[in-house]
Amino acid sequence: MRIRTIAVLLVLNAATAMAQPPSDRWLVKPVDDRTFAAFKSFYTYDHNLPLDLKLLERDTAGGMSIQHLSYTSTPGIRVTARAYSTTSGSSQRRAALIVLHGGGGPGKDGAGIKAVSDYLARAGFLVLAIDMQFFGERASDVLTSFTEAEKHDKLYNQPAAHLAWVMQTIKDVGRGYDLLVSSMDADPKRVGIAGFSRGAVMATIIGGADQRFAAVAALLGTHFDALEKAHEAAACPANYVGRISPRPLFMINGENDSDHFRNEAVLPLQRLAKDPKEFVWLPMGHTMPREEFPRIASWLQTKLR
Amino acid sequence: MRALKLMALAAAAASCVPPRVSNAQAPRVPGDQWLTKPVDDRTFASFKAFYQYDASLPLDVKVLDTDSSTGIVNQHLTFQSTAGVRVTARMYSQVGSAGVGPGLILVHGGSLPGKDGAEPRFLGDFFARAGFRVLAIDLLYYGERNTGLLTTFADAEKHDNLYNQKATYLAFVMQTIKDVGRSFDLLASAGADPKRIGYLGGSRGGVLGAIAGGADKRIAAVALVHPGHFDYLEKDHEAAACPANYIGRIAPRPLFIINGDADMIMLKHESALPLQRLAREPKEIVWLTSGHAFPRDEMPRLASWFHAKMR
Repeated sequence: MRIRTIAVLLVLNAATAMAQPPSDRWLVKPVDDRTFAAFKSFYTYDHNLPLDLKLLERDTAGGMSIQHLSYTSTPGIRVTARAYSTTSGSSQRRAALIVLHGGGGPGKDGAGIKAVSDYLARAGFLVLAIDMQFFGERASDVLTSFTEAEKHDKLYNQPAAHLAWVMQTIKDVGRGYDLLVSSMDADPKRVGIAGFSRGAVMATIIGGADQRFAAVAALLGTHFDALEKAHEAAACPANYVGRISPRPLFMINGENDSDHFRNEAVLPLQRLAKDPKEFVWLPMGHTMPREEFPRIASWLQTKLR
Repeated sequence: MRALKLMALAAAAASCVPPRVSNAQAPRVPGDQWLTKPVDDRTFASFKAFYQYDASLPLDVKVLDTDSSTGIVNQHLTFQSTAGVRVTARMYSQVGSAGVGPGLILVHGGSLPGKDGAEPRFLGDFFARAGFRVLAIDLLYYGERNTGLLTTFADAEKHDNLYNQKATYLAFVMQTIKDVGRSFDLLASAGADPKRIGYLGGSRGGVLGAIAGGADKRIAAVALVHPGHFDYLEKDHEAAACPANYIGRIAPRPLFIINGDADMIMLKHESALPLQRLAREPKEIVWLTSGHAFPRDEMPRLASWFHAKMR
């Protein structure tokens, strides 16, 4: 049956001149438990390292508090972030989210990510939107123009640099969890991840790596984008997505996405996901319309109740 | 057979040591499972992706200054190891050495000045005079790569913040393997013969050499001065950061080990001998009646060993 599917895809590939992202072997057969266990020490961090939270500024307007902050992830590496919360006086532990941006240069400060972070906070979540390494306030000379060509030449298609970046991001997000729980009244049992595009790819990886996250929303996620060629096993979402279960996974994708191809890149990843999972296909491309924010918020509310 | 006999002898020797009774001042180095049984090939293969680097990334060498006043060219330089990570180094070579010759990657021990400590400086100069193109690098957190993770460089600090922080130490070891690999590339691009590039490291640089030597097959010969499995304060480390899982993989390339039988940092029975036992032939092991001090008198012998093995 699977062979027939592949054969059909091959025929399609031959018949059309569309750019086809290559697959990799983990999409066919993810690594086994023993190999997966060997990855663990490379994304584990030292819990006793102080978070050294620094509050850079606080903006309170319209019932919303936005704290611009930074924290230590691993020695010498600080994560810049914004924490969004409604200024209600409740002292109870709350459901929380880590929001991961896509591959845009501004990182967490991109307009779309700011909008969705603000929205999710208004929906009742404590939201921590972080910059991934090399993006936003963590920009360096590794990426400067943030064009697709540069990101692929310098990062996504450099297997070693990409792997190191993925490992660092798992740690950065794990430390974000610690921060939410230790300093921000998040309920440790109700912390989820919501990632968009590149951040969604990361969310499927982190969801499989870090069992503390109670729900994973991978929005516009994929196995490979249109220009990716190869990656290391430990940096491949195909090796993680099946390990999110029994925690719930939610994906929204566009049927006409010209970067994350439905048949070649998204469906094969979704096939590896285990229940509980919920996949929504919308007649759209590679942008998340605001009209979908409520759907995202309500799925997360249900799962992080 | 011989290995068995050695192990039996060592076991006998160990059993002769009187048991330490809750004696706080007597340092005790714990072993770990890999010292008894290193990881198998399949597990070892899974480490590889984590210490590989992208060879297409430019080295982007920047020479900061050049000093030839002593008759040896001493270039102070930096190069890009991995994305966003630069290594500070000194390259020592003979004045006017344009031809292809042997090279040596020199890695310091765990002291604050890194490559600029008295011993690495002596060694860089000495081995350049002996005909090698030497690249002495700073390890991450040391010398000019000080980030503030270590400030006093006291033993307690190094262990609290680095050596006994499993994840931090593993990342440090992985970065070091990459830095050493990039040092190899730099030496080869600067005129060293890629078939004749060796590694020389002392103390922590010796521990890391057991690892880098096992990981990077391009290194033609490995010399470790005062290495050990654990130093007297180390407690635990990850499999991929344990020299016991690497040292046996240096063979068939030659390995030279110098240890001091009164070394209070790398204890003979608990740390040095168990690691030596995992090394395979060809290996040459020298025991000095000394502590952890730098054995300067042994350096001519080491230089001639490198010449003989990297012909």
